Amino acid sequence: MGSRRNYAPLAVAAAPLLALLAAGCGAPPGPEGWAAPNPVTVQSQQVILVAHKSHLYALPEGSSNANWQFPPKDKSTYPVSEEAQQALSSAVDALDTDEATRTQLKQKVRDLTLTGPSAGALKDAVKASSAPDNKKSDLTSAVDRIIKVEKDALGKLQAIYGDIGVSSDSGTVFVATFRGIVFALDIQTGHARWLRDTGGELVGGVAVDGGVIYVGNKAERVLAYDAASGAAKWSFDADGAIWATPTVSGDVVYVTSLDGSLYQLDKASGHKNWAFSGAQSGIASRPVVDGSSVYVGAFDNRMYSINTADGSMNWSLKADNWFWATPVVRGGVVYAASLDGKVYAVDAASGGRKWAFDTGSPVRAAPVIAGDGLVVASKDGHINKLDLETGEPAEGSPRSIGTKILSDLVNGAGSLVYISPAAATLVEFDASAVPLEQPGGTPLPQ
Amino acid sequence: MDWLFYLFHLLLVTPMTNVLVAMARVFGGNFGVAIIVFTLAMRIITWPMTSSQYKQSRAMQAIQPQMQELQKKYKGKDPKKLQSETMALYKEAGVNPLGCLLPMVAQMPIWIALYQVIRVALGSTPESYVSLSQTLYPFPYVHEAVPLSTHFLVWNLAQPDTTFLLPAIVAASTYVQQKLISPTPATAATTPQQQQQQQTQQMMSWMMPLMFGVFALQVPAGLALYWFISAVAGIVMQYFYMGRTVDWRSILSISAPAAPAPGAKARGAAAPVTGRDEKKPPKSAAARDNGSAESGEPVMITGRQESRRKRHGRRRGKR
Repeated sequence: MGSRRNYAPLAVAAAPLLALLAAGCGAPPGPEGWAAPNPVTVQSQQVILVAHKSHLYALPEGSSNANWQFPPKDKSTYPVSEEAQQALSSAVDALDTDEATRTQLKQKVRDLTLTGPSAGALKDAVKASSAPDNKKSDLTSAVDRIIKVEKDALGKLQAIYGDIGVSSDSGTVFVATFRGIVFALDIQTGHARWLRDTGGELVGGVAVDGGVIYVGNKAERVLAYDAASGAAKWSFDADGAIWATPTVSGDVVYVTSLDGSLYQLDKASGHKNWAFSGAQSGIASRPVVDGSSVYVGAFDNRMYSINTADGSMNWSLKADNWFWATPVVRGGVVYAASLDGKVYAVDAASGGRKWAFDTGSPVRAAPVIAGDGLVVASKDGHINKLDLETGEPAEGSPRSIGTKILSDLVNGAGSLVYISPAAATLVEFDASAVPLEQPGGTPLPQ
Repeated sequence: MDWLFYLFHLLLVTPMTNVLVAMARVFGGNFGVAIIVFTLAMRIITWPMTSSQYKQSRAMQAIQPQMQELQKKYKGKDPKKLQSETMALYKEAGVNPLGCLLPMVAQMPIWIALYQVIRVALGSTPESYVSLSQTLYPFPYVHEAVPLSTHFLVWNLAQPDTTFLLPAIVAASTYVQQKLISPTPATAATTPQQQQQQQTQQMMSWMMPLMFGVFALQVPAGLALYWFISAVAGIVMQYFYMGRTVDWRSILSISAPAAPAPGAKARGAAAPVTGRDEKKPPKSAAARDNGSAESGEPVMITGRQESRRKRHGRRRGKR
């Protein structure tokens, strides 16, 4: 018996190891991101801002050679943010030293990069100056601190889920990263203008309006920053995590949260005008405003139409699974896709269902209207184009790209639709072709 | 293997996910309480197997003297005879050599499934929520339970415990449970085989809790919580099963007792039970000749047997 008894504890001790090994085989992956591409015009050139996992690329249309990527491959040539440069330059101005030395130091500040010898060169120049020791020490400490903070911020973006914002002058790109940091990047170079740690993971993206950006995080906070400087303007504490990009309409901002609420906030102050809390579960869908109604889908399997004046419910539509994709409104009809795999067309005024189409796979990606039809992409990689009136699939539907699609579809020029799938490709789908053609793709830089 | 994975999810992971999500909703979105209630429910469901394990363990220990005799008699001389006599002894005593293993083996799929459930139901990434939406049954009660709270007391149930508290209490509770099942012998080993066995047993009594503790550092805190509650439930069950006669001092003793003086009578009682009119297995001649009761091996006494006298506090003197 003694030998048999020895086996039992060994088996028991090995059991959790086996359990872990087996569990590890089927464990879900970490955050991957599903930010939608954003086509912008930069100096008369069409550039597509495409996010893939933890990187953002600026791709000239039709090319897979990015103008820049963020974070950069080589940090030794990536300068510290413009805000940090300004702060260091101001510190140099405050040094009690001669003008020539200050000029030299400011040049080294402009040459300061995240890695490489530039930081050492700047600090050596500071130490060699005739400034008082305490001022020199403060400045060298500031250099170390800035390098550490910005290198750390770029080191672990994790993923990009939310909408990529672009300033009205198309000069700045705003990226919300899953790690919780918002970056403002120069659209031409990809260099950071400023960065802010919002204090919570970011699943929603950045809304830009009138020189202000708005973002909400998992720490239940909505924040507004000055787009140019990154100065904080206001913050609002919701009762649940915020997983969707805010929507700006007129003087108000709409924000949804996982406590099942839709908030209407004053754009200037962040004060709450009203809150709709009728959803029985979380809301992760971005709200869409059309006229006097705002439409939003929830995890209680319902799509809601809410009165913008007072937050009262107009109607709701029930599906068989959660609503997560942002709905589309056109011609008095709301088109909403659900994780039950169906796309619903609903009369915007009454909530009456006009038609429903089953794609056969969950739909997380927001559909778009292109080529006189509704283009829908489901999780299994199938793309359908549906007649707006009847929901009938167009000839050639569906087309498959063979990889998962979770990110929102985006309109390009004409009837072009951009899709950012799980694979490292930017898919371009021509919605006007009859029959529908297999979409082409531009591989992303590796 | 895809079909096996599919069946595992269909028959175990998905139902468990829905049960736990529903339980969490009952308890106000608290997934930690749901795990505790689920663990206790699993303990109750597996009680027949667990009680069988206790019986097997006691029976195994009761026949230790005879086992030692057989080892002494046949080991190295006639292995076939040793094996056949051993099996006959098992049969006579009603012992199943694998009886101790079954409860643990039965728990393994639960551990694996629970690990998957926690990763899906409490996943912090949006992708995990998409997966969760496809795992929940089409009942509003579970669909509307999302989002779930991942925090319970000081822990994030979806992440490994960074306070090290859970790994410590998992290891400690596993140790106590292990000791209850396989207590330290009341008397020291007198033969080389006994000494080897005791050394191995002692090593295992430390190794398993240590391994559980180490794994608890790696897995989500929710799974470690399950292990802890399961161990505590097992301790409580066995305590009552044994008639509340556990000698905690003996349970927590680290080393084996010193060898008795030659000719001295051994106390005989098992480490966790003393002062009872225990039903001892018949002693072999060899054991009697050794001058030590039951060859130093403990005898686990069923709680159902009447005690001659009650014990309070520390045992003193002889019986």
